[in-house]
Amino acid sequence: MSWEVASSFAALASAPAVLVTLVAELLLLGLRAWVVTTRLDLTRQVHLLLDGAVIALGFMFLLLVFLRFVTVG
Amino acid sequence: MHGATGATVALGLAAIALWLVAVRHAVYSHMGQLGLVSVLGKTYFIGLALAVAAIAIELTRVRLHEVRLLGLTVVLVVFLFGTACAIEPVAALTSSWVHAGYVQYVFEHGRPLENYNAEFSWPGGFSLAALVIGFMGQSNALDLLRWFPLAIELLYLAPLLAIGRASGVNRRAQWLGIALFYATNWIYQDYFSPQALNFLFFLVVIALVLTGWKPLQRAGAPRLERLRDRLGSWRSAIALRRLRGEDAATDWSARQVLGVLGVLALLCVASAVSHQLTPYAILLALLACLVSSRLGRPEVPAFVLCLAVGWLSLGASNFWFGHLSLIFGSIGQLGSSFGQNVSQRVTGSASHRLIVDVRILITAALFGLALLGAARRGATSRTLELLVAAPFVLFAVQNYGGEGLLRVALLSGPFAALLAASAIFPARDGPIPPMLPDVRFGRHARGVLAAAAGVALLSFAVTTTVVRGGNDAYESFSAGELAAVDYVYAHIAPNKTVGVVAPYLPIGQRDVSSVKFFVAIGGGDNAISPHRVRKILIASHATYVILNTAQLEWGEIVAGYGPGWQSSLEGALVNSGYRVVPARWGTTATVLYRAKGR
Repeated sequence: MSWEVASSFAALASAPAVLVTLVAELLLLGLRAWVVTTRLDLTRQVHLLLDGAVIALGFMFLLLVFLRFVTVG
Repeated sequence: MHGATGATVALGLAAIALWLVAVRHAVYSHMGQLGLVSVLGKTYFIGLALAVAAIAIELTRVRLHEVRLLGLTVVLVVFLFGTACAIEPVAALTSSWVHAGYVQYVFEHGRPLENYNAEFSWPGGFSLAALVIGFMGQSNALDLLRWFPLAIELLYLAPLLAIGRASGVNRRAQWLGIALFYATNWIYQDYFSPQALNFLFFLVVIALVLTGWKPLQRAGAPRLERLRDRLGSWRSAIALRRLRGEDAATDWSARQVLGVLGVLALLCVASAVSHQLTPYAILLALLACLVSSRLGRPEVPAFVLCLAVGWLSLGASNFWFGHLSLIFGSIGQLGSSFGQNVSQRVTGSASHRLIVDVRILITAALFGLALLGAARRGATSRTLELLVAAPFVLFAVQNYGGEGLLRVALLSGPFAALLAASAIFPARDGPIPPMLPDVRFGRHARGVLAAAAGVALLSFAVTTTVVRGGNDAYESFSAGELAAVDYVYAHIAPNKTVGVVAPYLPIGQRDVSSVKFFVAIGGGDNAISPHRVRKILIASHATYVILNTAQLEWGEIVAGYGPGWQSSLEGALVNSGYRVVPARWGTTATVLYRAKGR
């Protein structure tokens, strides 16, 4: 069984990967803003889950950008 | 009261009349080494003084008349930013012509030119301009160039008013602050450029945020009289609650907030795809608002960061492939950044060095007054102070080719000006008390304050007039110089080269990908001697060489070449096989074509 996530760091940090992560992060940020602004009645756990997803995906995006600079730049 | 009302209106109208007389009688061809001020007569300065006097009188009325203040501010803007547009026959600054060329390329081809230069990696502004000229039924942006500085400065007025109103300073400081911003804006980044447009985006974003959110006032919160209380309030700036936006409140409905967030998102997208630096300035300013309880939605700075970094890594990859040091090489290099931005600019003739020294002095004076204003005012938050400081983080990270400090001064300018105005008209209430005791002027208070406001504003306005146009001897162009460039464009074959000594002529506005340019001084190395310039230019084998008055003035003022250097160069070019094109454009330009082996 292969545990390889990608054939190389360059492949991992390819433009489509960065773009998908970027779009996902922007959508999550928009969702969070909408949820909090409209005071949607969600449980505390759902709020934490949303915050966690935003932070995790944000880190992933920045990491992929860093890899892209390092491998492709 | 009606007499005094009539007086300020009369002063404003007289100021405009004197401005019209001044620009009508200015003779552009008489411009000397001090630039624009050398063709401005006493009439201009008398008119400027009348406008400033009217503003000072209006500022000290018992009841402010904001419509009159608005009108007088517009008069001041016309003086400071419309004079060059009116006097100089064509748009100044080579970069504005180059940007017009980029717009034309996008208009003709429907896409930016790849692998050409850094600016084309952020093509949003050029695309917008191409859309605008299409709507106008034009085929190029040349008609927009000449009056663009005045137009964009007037557009800045609306968000500046909103920022002033929401910033926490009192109304008099708001109006004086806006006038001081204009009076200290010598920075000349308002020519036809992406940064001028992006500064508008920056101001609108900050205006929306400051208008929408205020610090949440908690009942029973103590006034921060003691140092321990002040330090405690600073610690709370990085508390999780603050970073989640829970310390800011808004009077807007949920629908209004969502609408504003949508507008902010669009502005951030527009900025991210049209300028390298402004998105990061917006990010820092939003973080400043967040930590000072003036932003209730932390998603907004995160959104800006993702967009800016995302465009850099994806859309602008042509820019940094193999040149990562251009982006990250100056991180922490404060000494060399400062040298490139300040020390290395203080060169050239005595008049040029004077211009540069006075520019530094204006900025230092503004920030000094801002410091005094910060100490004299009471406030609900230190947002203004943080907004002044935030752009300096940019300077620590990226020197921006030696222009970083200029951009930082511009981005801090509106907020520093509001603080500087608070030195004269401080608000004294708010949970954060002033650091200095109040000063009372007794029954002469109105006169003293009017005099202080008038003297400060007039001093800045006069010096800004002098230094803003101080380089116009070589950064502005005549109709003859434009005619010479048009001749070359009409006769040069594709993929041939135009040679110049230094990039000071109205060139670049067409045939972006097909006509090449050779600049003898390369990347702005003023240390190259005229003899070496001659050798480099001859060795370039450029098909056409253009020598013009602006390059001549640059050589004498900045590079320190002796008088007649350009005639010697022309003689050397003729001896090496170039021929002079019979001039149909007066004596302001000489076009030479390479007769041998064209």
